[in-house]
Amino acid sequence: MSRYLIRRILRGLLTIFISVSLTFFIVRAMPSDPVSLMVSPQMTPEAQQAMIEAYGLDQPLLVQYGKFLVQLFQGNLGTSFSKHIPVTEYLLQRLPWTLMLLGAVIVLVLGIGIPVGVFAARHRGKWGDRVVSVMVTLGISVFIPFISFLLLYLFAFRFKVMPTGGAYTPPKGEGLSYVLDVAKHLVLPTVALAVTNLANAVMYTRNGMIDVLHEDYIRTAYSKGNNEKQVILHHALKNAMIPTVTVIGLQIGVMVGGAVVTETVFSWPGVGRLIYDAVNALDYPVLQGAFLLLAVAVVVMNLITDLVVAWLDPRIKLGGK
Amino acid sequence: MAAVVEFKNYSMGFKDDDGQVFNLLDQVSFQVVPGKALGIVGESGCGKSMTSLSMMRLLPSAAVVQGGEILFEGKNLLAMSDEEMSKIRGEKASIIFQEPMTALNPVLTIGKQIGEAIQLHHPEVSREEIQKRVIQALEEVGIPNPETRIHQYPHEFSGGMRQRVMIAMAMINHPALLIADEPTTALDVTVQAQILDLMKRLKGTGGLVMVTHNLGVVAEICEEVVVMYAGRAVERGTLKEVFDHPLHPYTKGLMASIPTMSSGKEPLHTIPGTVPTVYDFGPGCRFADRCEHCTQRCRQQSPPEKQVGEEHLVQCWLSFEGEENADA
Amino acid sequence: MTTEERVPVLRVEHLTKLFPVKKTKLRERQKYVHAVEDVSFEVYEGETLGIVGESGSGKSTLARTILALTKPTGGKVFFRGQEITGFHCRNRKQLRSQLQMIFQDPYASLNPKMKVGPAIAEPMLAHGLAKNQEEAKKKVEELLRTIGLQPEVYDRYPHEFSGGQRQRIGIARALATQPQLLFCDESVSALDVSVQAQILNLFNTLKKQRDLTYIFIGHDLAVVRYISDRILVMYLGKVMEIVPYDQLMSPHSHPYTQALISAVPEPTTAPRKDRILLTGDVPSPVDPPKGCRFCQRCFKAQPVCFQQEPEMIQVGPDHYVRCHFAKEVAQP
Repeated sequence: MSRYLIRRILRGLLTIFISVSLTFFIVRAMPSDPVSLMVSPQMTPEAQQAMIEAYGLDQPLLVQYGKFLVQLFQGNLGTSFSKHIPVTEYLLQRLPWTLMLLGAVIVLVLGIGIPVGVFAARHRGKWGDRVVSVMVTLGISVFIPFISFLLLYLFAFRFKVMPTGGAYTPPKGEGLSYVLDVAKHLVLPTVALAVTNLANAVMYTRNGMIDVLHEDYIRTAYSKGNNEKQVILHHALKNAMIPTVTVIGLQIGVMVGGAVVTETVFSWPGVGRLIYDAVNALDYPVLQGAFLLLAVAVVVMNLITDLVVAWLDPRIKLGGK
Repeated sequence: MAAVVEFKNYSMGFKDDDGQVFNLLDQVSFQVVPGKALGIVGESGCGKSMTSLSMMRLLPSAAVVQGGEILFEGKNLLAMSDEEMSKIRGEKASIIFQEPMTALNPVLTIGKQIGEAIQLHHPEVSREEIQKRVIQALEEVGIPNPETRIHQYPHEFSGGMRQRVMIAMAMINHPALLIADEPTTALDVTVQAQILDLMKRLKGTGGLVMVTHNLGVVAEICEEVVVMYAGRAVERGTLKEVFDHPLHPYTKGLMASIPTMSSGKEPLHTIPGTVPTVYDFGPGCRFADRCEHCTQRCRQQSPPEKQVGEEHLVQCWLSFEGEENADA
Repeated sequence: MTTEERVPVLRVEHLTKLFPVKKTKLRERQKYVHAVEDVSFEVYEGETLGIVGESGSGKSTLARTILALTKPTGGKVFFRGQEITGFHCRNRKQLRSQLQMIFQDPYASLNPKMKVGPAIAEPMLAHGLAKNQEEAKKKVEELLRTIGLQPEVYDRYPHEFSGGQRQRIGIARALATQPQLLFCDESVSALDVSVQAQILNLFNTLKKQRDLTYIFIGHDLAVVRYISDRILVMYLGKVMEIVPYDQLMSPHSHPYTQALISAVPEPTTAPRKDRILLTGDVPSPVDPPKGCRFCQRCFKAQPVCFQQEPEMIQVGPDHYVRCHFAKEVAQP
């Protein structure tokens, strides 16, 4: 087990290294120049040059890369071009908001997706299942920006029951009213982000459940005197959840940095929004930091998913016998 | 002696996608007596598995009960609520399936799966007591180191060991009826011998139903036999009567077509043709197409069940010495 | 028949097939599945050699290795005196037609989208046994009649047939190339008892009609005994005994063979002798025991059995047994 973990972590670090290096070069291959954005024409040439040198942008690419790596190992992700604060600090400011959003999404996806999937499987072919199937197809095929704007339009502008964006109504409040305020701001982005994942969760749970309910051991469970509820809860669910957990786990890793569109539309101050801003500002260090965070998140979620699946399914031996 | 289970003219069939019902089991009658083992033999598609599943009311969803009764300790199973049925399953009646590899839940420990049978029917029993009983049951079926084995999962057991686990699980509440549906078909011969030996030892006071295509297995374990063909119980009686004096042309043909360890090299007796499926059943005797004694009447009318001798019934239009109409 | 008159059609010498087990640790000794190990035997013209064994005995792998469907790890195979190991020889294509295999599940080996007639005609055309489609069709129809099917089934698809009929089609396809040696791998195991008898009789009739030689692989000892002249008993990749069918029940047999015989449930009400019950399941063919392969389950095992592997010992005409105690029994 520990040997397995060490191997997985080493492989994860390699993945992260490759992804970070790729990011470094891809960011610099973008067809515009951060210098032109950073330095204003009012500055004296000396001041401009000083600034460029301060950020090390005058050096050859490989030298920049070497420096970047050295700094990375020291835990220093550099300083943001646009905000002029350390990238680490900037990321850490934003990360909790993204995690909060993701947490809400996970609760929604698992809390609704699994029961609905089970319901559909139990009523396979009947109208309940058909309604669910239609919803799932819609959920999977919907274009996320579209659903985001639709939600905003309906609930924020039309009915005015939800805030239009941001994470809280300024000025920042305190205590319960602040929590409620944040919760209210959280609703629409969560829903927007959850739709596709929820549809996937329902579909995988439903299909997994239908397969599992045909297994011989389900018949054995009935033959022992279990009723349908007991069979589903004690015998089928754990087996049926294995594919669902695998899929959702991987998607969540991606979402840490991938909620760019949703966070931008709802002005949610998370990592996705940060990436959007950083791209606009050609803020190399921030972009690199964000992608590092994304790579770490994917690797970590992969590991967690594998551990959860191994816990669900004892046939999977972590790292072999 | 009062029967544990009695089938009275039980009929069932299958619904196809268009809702049309095809009859499979037709007017099946037999009974299982406490302390005795009944063998249900037949080839694929004869309905032997559907008979065993009917006793547990575990039929697949496409199955339709078409008539008759299945009396379990005098009460009609078919009229019971799902709740009543759940109370019988695993407590008074248990079943062992063919495939030990897939019949156990892969994600639960053996101990939990066996213990569940106690827990469901005797919620008052403590955890420690359940564990004690499970260990004892595993010991009885010959699984070494039961104390460690209860914490293991099915994939850590061999095929023969899994079938032992299934037996322990089915026997844990000392049911009045144990149904074994092809319990040794998936096993190697030497392991089959072990399992048959075990079942003989554990048979005890309950009734045992052994469903199999293997006449040898029936001869090994059973005192009574029902020979099924295409959904009908064509011949039934004591093992000795049916095996030593088979009457129905199908039973006779079947017996003669099996190579045994003492067969000579002369050509085997064969029954021409193949086993019909539910879609091919005619109005008359379902064996008619393959029978050497077939007459016009056989094709048109379903044969009556005749009593030949004290404990020997046969469904055939042929005349037998000392026959009586069983319905009379 | 005396030994001098008999011509071996097939001779197998020390044939071995090991499958490497996938390593799970970086530094680990490579383990092998000892599927077939040091197997030697001969098959004579016109006989049926039965190969019997439980799961993991390597009986199917043996056939596949002989037919070069999998590469042998060691040993040699001779067909009519010519070495054909792995079919690394010039007349490969001809060999494929002379040595044919009939599988357990003919449905799996028939293309479901191809009508059975053309499926049988295909190997005929491929091996030049029919010049054109018409001739092939004529030959196939004749063949279908021989194996007990109406020639009209030529234009039907495999799914339209019952299990027994499909097995007949499987046989027809194997016969299409006019083989001399037929491997029947569990060819009747999936069939109903009443149909199994038909196919067994068909095998015997065809053998006479076409001068065939069979290697009949099965797990049902009674069936293998019925169809075979000699029987090769395998256990965990090794030959434990080669015995004429009428000597199978002799007291000189290998303890494993005795246990196998004793384990067969017989459909008779006659009281049976005390059964030899083996303990445990068939062990895994990965890392088999050091001494005799059967030592862990043998009821006659002595310390020597765990130390040293016994040789094949002749205990009678055509009767060989791999057991330390075989000689004692043979020459009292």
